[in-house]
Amino acid sequence: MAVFIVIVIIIITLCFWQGLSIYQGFHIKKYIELAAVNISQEITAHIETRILALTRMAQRWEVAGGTSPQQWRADATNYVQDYSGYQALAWVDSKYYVRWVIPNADNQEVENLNLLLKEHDSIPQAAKQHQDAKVTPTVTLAEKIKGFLVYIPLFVGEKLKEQRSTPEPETQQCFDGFMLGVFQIHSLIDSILDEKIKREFAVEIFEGNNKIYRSSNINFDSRIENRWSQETEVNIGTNITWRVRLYPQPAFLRGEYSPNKNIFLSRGLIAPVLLTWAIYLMQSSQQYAKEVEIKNSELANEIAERQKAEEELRNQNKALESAVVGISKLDAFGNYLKVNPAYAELLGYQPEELKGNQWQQTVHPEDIEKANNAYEKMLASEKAEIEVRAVRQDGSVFDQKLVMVKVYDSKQQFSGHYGFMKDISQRREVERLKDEFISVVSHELRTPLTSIRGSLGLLAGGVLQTRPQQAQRMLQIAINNSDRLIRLINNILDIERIESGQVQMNKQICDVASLINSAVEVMQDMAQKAEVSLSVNSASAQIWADPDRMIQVLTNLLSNAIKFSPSGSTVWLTAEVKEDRKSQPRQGNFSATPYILFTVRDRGRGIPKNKLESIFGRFQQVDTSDSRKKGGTGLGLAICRSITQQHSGFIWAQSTENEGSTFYCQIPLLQEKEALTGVIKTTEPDSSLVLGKYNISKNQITTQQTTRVLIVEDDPDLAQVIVSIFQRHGIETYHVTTGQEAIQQSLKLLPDLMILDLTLPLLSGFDVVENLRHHKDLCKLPLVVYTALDLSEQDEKRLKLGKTLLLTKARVTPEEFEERAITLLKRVILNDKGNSESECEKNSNY
Amino acid sequence: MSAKKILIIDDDEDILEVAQLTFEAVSNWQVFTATSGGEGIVKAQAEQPDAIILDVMMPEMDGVATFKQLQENPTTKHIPVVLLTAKLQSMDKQRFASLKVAGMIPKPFDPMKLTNQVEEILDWK
Repeated sequence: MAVFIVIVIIIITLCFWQGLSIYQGFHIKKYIELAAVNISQEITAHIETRILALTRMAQRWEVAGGTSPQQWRADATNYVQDYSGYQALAWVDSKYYVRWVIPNADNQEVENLNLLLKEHDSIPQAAKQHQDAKVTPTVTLAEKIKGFLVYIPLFVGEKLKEQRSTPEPETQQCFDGFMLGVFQIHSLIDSILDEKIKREFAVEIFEGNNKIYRSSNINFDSRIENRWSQETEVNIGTNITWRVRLYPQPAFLRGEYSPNKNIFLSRGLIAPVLLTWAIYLMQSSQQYAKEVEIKNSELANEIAERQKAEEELRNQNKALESAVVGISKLDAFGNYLKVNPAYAELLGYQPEELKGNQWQQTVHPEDIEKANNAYEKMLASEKAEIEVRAVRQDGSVFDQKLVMVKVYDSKQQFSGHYGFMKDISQRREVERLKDEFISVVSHELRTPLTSIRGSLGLLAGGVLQTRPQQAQRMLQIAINNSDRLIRLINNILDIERIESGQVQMNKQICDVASLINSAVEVMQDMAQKAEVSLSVNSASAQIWADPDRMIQVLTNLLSNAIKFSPSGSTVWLTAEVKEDRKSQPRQGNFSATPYILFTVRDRGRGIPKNKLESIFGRFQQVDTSDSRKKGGTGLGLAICRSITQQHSGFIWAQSTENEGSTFYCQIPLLQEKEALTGVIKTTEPDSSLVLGKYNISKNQITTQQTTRVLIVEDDPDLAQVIVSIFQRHGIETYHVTTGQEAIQQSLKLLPDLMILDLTLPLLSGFDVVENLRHHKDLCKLPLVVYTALDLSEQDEKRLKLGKTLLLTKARVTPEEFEERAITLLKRVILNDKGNSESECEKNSNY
Repeated sequence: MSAKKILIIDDDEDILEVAQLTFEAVSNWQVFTATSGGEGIVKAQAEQPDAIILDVMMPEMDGVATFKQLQENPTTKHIPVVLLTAKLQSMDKQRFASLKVAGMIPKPFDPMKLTNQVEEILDWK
């Protein structure tokens, strides 16, 4: 569009320019034409004036009848002086002789010249004949000057003629000669043409083809002449015509040519250029405006993105600060730039203390090579994961999972890496325990299978065909180990089902004596075969229990006692009602509430002190060969403990090596009002602890109230384990993962017990304790600190709250944790009523 | 091939009996048995068997400890030891891999192939 407009403008400009050129040419031509006409008229007028002046002079001559030479000369001199262009003024007598000449000085040679002897002699004769002035064609005067002559015939009367002293005879009547004007054409024309005409035009005059005049000091340009010349004709005399040719001077043309045309042309050409430029600028500015708009939009988006990114970064920083996982940022040389609180806390530092340290300093020296390999892998493949041991500031060691992620700067240059660290000590411990359990179970299952497979293999292989006694022995081994395997599998399934709550305890009011009788009846045959006497002494009491499971506990204890009793010895089974906490040497302080205490005592080989607790673990026997020799599976006591726990009871052992062992099983006694009202019967899972909370009081049965335990643990796996432990006991559990949540939920729930990990995000366990100590409702909150940290004496002092139990994760098995935590809880619940008014200052560690 | 002398150390007497009968009836090897690591070391010193079949999981002194003592003893360190174990977890295998035992035979074993397994491990064929 712009190009089209520009072309149109150029065409219009050129058309106008051309029109102006034509107009100016026309105007100049007209001007020249008018000038030519004017010049012609001027020439005509001037010549006529001069002829008229001569005529008047001639008339004065005629009126005076001639004149004296002096008078004529004076008159002629005036004429010559008054009118330019004269070569001479003469009086020619009637005989055509020049008589008087003015100016005489330059024309003496023409005096007495007979003009009839000259060219154009017919002119004077014609003048005389017609008695009229006649002009001659151009003649050449002296010194080759072009000129022309004007003859004015003179006619006078007689008197006048006589007065003259001229001797010539009269040849014609009254004819007295001529007044002759001799004109120099060049001088004449020059005097006629004014200076303006001379500047503007070149003037040439032709008579016929003879150039008789050409203006002087003029530039003759044939091109200008051909284009602009104008001719006019001037009639000088009869049959004498001059052609006056006029053409302009370049200076005149330059002056006449209006600069407007060129200005117009130049502007007309410049205009589209300017217009084009303007359009270009406009388009450019529009384009620029669009680009600016786009840039602005992009900038706005970028700003928005940046703000979003900054917001995201702030959120990420917040998340980083409160992340459970330890997060660190390191430079390209492996130095810490920044770590979050969790990271620093895991390593036992303050966040600022780690800045500038090499990350390898926090890795166990034996794992440095492995860690460096992972670092190299990260450099090569962006990310690497590794599980190595970490070293805390205090030198303690823990298992960590470390994820390293490569980081680039804005120029995509490697700038360092992020390190994500998680303490996997607990997981490792769980894995270890799990692997160990699987390993033990595997071993326990494979051992009888090996005997079965081997003995049957020999029989099937036919190698014992000739050895019937050995073949029979192999069969017996296979049968014995099959039985052992069956027992083992049953027990494994049994204990798993009991502990997972899959076995429903069909609790009912049970008479203790009946339970004892039933157990003794079952074991009587075994005792007889072992030649062991059973001595029974039972108090009359009732308990709320599953009778089959209680009989299972008692028969198991009796079975062990019989197995390890020498023949001829006695195994005692007693059941006593107890209240005295001092009578419970290990698990004592359970309650001041009555309970039934079953005791099974033997005179066997005894149990080493260091195994008195472990024998209640799975596959934990005093001697592993007992499983084969005594027909045990290594699971009996573990099952007994599980069943007892399901009845809110406890089981433990005392022993003196080579003197015998005593196993105690303590079950809460059913109270009179409970038996009467049946309130005690609750839903599964076992609600014994719930009962304990509201029902143990000797004098009253309170309304039901829930036991709450708040578990503060950031490791989800371990938290689940702990939750399961308490839920198996029918306890309401609440789980939080941060110190802040721990405080909030404590205030909200007022739990009966808090299980507290110390290594927590945001607020550590220490902070939680410190905070809760200032709340009147929580300052005596019972507390189990369950931590992987090795606590100093000072740490232990800082962790005082209510009844406080300090357990180290790596040193306490889950079973031990369960036992001790439940024990503490029961004590707290039972003591709650009597000690409800206790002051916070009386808190002490348990 | 002359009859070999084998010492079997296992705390499970049934397994010990089956293994002994296996080597005697199938391979006609001379078999000594021990029910503990301590007893095994004594018998190894006394009998100088061609190889020891050693159970891993035993009370008091387990198979690994027994093996280490056998290796530390100049009179028994040359005797090749084959572990006979029911512990087949990866953690167990890693633990055994660090020991310079001649080989490992898992429990339960096929008595008809047990001799061949021992021979292959000890390159007695």
